[in-house]
Amino acid sequence: MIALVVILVVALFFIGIVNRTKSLLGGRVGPGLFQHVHDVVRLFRKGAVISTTSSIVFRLAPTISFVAILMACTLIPFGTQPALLPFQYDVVAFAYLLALSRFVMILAALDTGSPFEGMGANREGIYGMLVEPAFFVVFGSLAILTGHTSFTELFSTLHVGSGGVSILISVLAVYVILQIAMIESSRLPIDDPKTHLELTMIHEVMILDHSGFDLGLIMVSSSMKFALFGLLLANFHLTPSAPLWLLLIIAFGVNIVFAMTVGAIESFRARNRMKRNPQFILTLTSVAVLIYFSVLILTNKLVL
Amino acid sequence: MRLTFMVACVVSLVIAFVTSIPAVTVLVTGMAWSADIGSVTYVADSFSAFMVLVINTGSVLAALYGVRYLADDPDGRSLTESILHGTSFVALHAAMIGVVISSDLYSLFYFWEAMSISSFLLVLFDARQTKARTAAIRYILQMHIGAVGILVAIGFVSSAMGGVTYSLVHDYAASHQTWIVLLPLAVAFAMKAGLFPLHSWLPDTHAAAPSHVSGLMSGVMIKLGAYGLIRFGLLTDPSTELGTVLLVIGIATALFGIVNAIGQRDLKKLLAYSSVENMGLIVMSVGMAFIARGIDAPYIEIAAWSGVVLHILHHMLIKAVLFQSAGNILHGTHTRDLNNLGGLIHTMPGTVNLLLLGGLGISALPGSSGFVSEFPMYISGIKTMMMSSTSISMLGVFSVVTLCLAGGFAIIAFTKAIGIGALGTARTKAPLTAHDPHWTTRFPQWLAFGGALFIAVAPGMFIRALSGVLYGLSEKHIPHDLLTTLDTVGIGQAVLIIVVGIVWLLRMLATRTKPVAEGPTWGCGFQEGDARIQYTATTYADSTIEIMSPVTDVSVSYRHIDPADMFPRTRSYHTEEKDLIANKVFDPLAIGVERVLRALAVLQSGNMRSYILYAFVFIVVVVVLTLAEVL
Amino acid sequence: MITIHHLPLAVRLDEIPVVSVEEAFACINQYLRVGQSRHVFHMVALPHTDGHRVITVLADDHTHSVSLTSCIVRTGNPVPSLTPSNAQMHIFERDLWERYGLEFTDHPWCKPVRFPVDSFHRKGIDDYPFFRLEGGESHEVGVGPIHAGVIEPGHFRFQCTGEDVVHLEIKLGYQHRDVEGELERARTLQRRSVLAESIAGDTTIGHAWAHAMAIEVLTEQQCDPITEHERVIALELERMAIHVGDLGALSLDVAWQLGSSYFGALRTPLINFFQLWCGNRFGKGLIRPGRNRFPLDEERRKAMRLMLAQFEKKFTLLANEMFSLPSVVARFEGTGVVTHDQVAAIGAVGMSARMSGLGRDIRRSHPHGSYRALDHVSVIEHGGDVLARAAVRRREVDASMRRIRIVLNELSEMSGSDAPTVPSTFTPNTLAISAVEAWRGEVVHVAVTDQDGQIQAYRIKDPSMHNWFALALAVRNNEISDFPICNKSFDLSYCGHDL
Repeated sequence: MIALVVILVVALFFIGIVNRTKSLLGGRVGPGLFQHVHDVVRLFRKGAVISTTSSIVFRLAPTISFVAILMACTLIPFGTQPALLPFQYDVVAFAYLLALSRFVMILAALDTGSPFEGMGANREGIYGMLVEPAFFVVFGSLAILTGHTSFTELFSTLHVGSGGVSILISVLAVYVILQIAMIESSRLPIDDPKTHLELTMIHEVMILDHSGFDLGLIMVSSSMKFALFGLLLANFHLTPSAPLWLLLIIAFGVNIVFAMTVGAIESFRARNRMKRNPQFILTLTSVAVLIYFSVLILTNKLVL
Repeated sequence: MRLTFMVACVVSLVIAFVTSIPAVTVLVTGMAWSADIGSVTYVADSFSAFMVLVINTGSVLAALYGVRYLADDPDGRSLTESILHGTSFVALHAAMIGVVISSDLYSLFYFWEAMSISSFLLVLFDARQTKARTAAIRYILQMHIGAVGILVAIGFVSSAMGGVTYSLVHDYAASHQTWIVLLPLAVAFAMKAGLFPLHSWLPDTHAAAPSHVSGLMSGVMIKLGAYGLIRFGLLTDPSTELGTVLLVIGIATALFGIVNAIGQRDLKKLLAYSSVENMGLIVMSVGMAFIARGIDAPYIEIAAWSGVVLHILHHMLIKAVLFQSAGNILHGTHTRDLNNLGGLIHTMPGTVNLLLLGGLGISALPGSSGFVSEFPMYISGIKTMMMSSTSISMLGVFSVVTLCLAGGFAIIAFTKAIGIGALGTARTKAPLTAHDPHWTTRFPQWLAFGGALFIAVAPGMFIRALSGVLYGLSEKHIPHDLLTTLDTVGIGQAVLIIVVGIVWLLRMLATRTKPVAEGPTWGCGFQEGDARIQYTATTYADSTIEIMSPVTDVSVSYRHIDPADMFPRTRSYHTEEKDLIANKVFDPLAIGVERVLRALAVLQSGNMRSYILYAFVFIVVVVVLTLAEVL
Repeated sequence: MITIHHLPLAVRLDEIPVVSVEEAFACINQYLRVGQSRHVFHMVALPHTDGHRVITVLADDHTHSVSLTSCIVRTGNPVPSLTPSNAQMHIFERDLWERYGLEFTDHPWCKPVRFPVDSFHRKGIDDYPFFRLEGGESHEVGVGPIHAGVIEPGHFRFQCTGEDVVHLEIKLGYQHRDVEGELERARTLQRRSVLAESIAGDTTIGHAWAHAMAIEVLTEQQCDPITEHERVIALELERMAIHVGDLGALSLDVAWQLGSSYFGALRTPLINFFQLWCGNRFGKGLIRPGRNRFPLDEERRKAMRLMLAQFEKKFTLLANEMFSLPSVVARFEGTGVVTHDQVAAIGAVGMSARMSGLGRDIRRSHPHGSYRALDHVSVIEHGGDVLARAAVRRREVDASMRRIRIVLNELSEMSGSDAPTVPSTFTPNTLAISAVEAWRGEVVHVAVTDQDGQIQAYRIKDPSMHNWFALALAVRNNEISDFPICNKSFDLSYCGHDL
């Protein structure tokens, strides 16, 4: 339950911090920390313009996508505090819920008959598919390391401070998950939410025709997705022995650092060429495989 | 037409009813059924009983759909054609049951051939089209190559053991090299199951067959290939090696199938390749179960078998939904080419709704039966990763990566099928004039979907009900926490569906008073409303095909614009997606064989003197060889 | 064919030979066959008793000369097109076809140029005959006229096979204001000057200067050297400002936020200097025929030196960062290549030509005013890709900075004279041509007077007229997601083209 609350709170300020970091590094003050919250509230109050080409799929998709992300949130624990709905192998469900969200949003994009949204949909499908092996190999490796297969159990035993051997693994895992978060949330270097050019974007261009309440829901979903991965990263740092208030500080601290990292990455580098993206994502898989072999060596399963 | 098939439907229902009763009894009591008919013994253990139920469900769904589907058939058929079709349908149903209750290789061979021939006749329904004829002939040829495998096995076993009952096969395998009997049989089963690289008949045949037959073949008949592999795998005391081989073949099949599904623009071929993928996943899981048995890991084994059993059920139901939707679209628009479709959701909402639900299911997304059937496969995969042996652990990694890649590809394939085919605007006039067929066509689809939904929310219940089957396969009891996990997943799926409903209601409430304006899709101010601006089936697949070019075979016919050509003339762009194996391996092989035979035909000059010469040469050679003491 | 060795020029209409259509076309073909040193400057049609007199202006970069020829094309009498043999003629012929209904028998690309609705043939904009890929397997992407960025309207139609663009066709005309007509109808110098400054907002100095020179030769006025020097400073400063802004825009399009923020900030002192100088950040109101309205006095020269010193330090730092950042260079390199041959074939001018090894530069080939004494050296790159275009910009900023410093030094040693008064009637029956190397390339103005000494035709050629086709070629066989940086790397003018 705490996890869900933390995710919702982080979702409130995450994008704000990313944008503030970017604008400060760009020499500007930038919008307020809660600008996107205002945006969402404004969108919730608005009416909508709906394409005559579109159908029920277009209207239903943001709802399903939002619920999928919400359900994914119920799988994430908070340190030793179990998740709302933990079960064995919920790692699989987590990945598939994100896939469900992707699936319906792709369909909604294709429903409009727009070439831009088709373009975004096509890219989203491919990059989403390519990123999954890395996710599964990392969590499979962590499962080998800890002997547990659900987020709740996994994070109750694993954290950066839990022992000498697992620090390296945790650091690598944090790196991979950070990158997965960037890809899933359509940020640099795969996608750029800021350019606002129809031809170069992925996620933003898929929602070109959404407006009003639905657009608000989509924005909430993407904020929550960020917070979801933020909490996942934070879980690596939540030592079970610490009191709750300290854990909360750590969790928010990790998320703030995560947001600032995202902002910094987006300031200091350019986006990938679209055709280089698959290669980039596959590199991530190879890091995941590296984690896997490190785990095998650490657990004395692979003797060199 | 309609009347003849209605008779077939009734007969099929009767067969289903008659055979389901003993099958259910077997499942409930756990006692095998057996009967002697003449000198032949037929046996149905729990696995056979399960397969009988799968066959009956699939056949009844196909029969119910077929009645209405054929009534809407635009081409007139002669009475002979109708009767032949109906008879073949019933024969296929019966033959499939025969296959799973056979207990010796002779009857297996007999029913196997009956199954091939009856399905061949069903595929030939559209024999007036060259494509259907070619596909059907290809099919029957390849099936016979497979059937030779069974004959070879019969030869080996009967010469060594003096009989061909399954128990003798077991004894033979125990006393000889196992692969001698298993390999020829495996060729037959792999051919039927459409396993890579023997899958090439499958897409063409499924595309050519009438839709109720495609659904039946894809949902049920090819599963009998997997049945054979499991049955004979178990008979020959499966080893880890056999498991590994099956796992690898399964992985190759799954990935090859789904990548090629993305490349297809024929809706039914896309579905057929997706069937190849799902057969790959099933066989991969079978391999996993054999491996687990070899290393004595009961949890993994049970999880893998649960995956197999649930996936067979799920795929049978969902593929029926999908192929029947494809059939409705074909009847409504007279085309299967996705590049000619689009916007069907406005003209055929009933059909497209089912296509959407089926697409969610086949992509194994949460809330569907596909998710619960792939979930145990993931369990076995991740659990295998955690095993102590590095090589076994890596097999686990491969299977998990395959599952998630296949899932990711399936999302691309089915967003393509639905998004390009049914959503957006119409690319040609065909979808504009289409309309939903009579509701009775959709009745079996909703029935199948209802079944799939039931699996989705109560997988634990199914696994409990099928505990006998799982026990028969693994000789182990289901671990309690596997059941709990599956129960939780089921509840989670139900919660997901309910929460979607609640949020949707809240959204409706929140937007009730808000103004909604309608307008054209945003086109940057150049509002032309042209379907040309939409992604096509070809271009939607382009990026994936490019990344996956080593396993796909798409030829592009297009004259490139010369760099110096400033003002290019209108030109056309065409692609043709072929099967890599059929195009690069089998076709050249067939052409080579044909060429050799043609060359030999020179000998057949029709001139009596030449033949006398041949006889003379032959005698001389024999004499010389005898003298040289070679012979 | 009459050949003149200096620009700007004024030539009496009856001095331009009138030959038959066939002879004129053969002559043009012959002229252009010499190679890349020659290209078409402009093609102007004047009404004639039973048709139009088409005057073709050709330029030779080696001999620093301009040649003119003319022929009478009768209405309703189709003539052969020059485009099949010289692709660069296409835009001028299309202009004549659209404007006067001159018919061509074999023009391969006879499509509207700048009218939302083709003015002569009355076809709707939706009927624009786009090139198509048949077969129903490829798709089209139509971008614009309303764009995501704050840019001018234009429609881009891509023929795609997935992520790859097979062909891009650009449909412009949304910005058509009939500036040429307004210039012909204007009766005061002031109105003309203001109109000329607004031909293309980002080339204010370039067009204002070209217009001023055209008027100056028509009135046989000479500007004093100080005025000419100040104009050089203004032109080069405009070049710097736009190039820096475009480097920032390129950074934005590859999502390099640092570059986009700081290049944007660096552009500000440059355009603010214009504000200080003439009260307008884009240099409007500065240049008038015969004079500059605001002198660059000692105080302003000092301010400028200071501003440039500060600018140079920051610019060098940032530009070095940009051209050494792997993620940026990786996006630029090999993207949107237009080969040397293509550039030559379509007659690209200015930096769009110089980025692919074709040194087309009015400052060198047809120098005017102070440039005659400056011995200009052009910045030339050879890559033909986005990186080359960015590099040309960066190097031209440096070169302009050096040029401004030299001119500033010279200015402080010069003393001025009174500006001449420009009469409002011009030499009658004369054709005047002026050309300025603005930041995009050559801006050519052609003014024709009637027997009363009034302007009867005023024709403007913005370099974009030539160069839009280079963008279309750059995108061919590229990824569609690279189109924005290709577009920005050329940064062509919509209103300069649409007029």
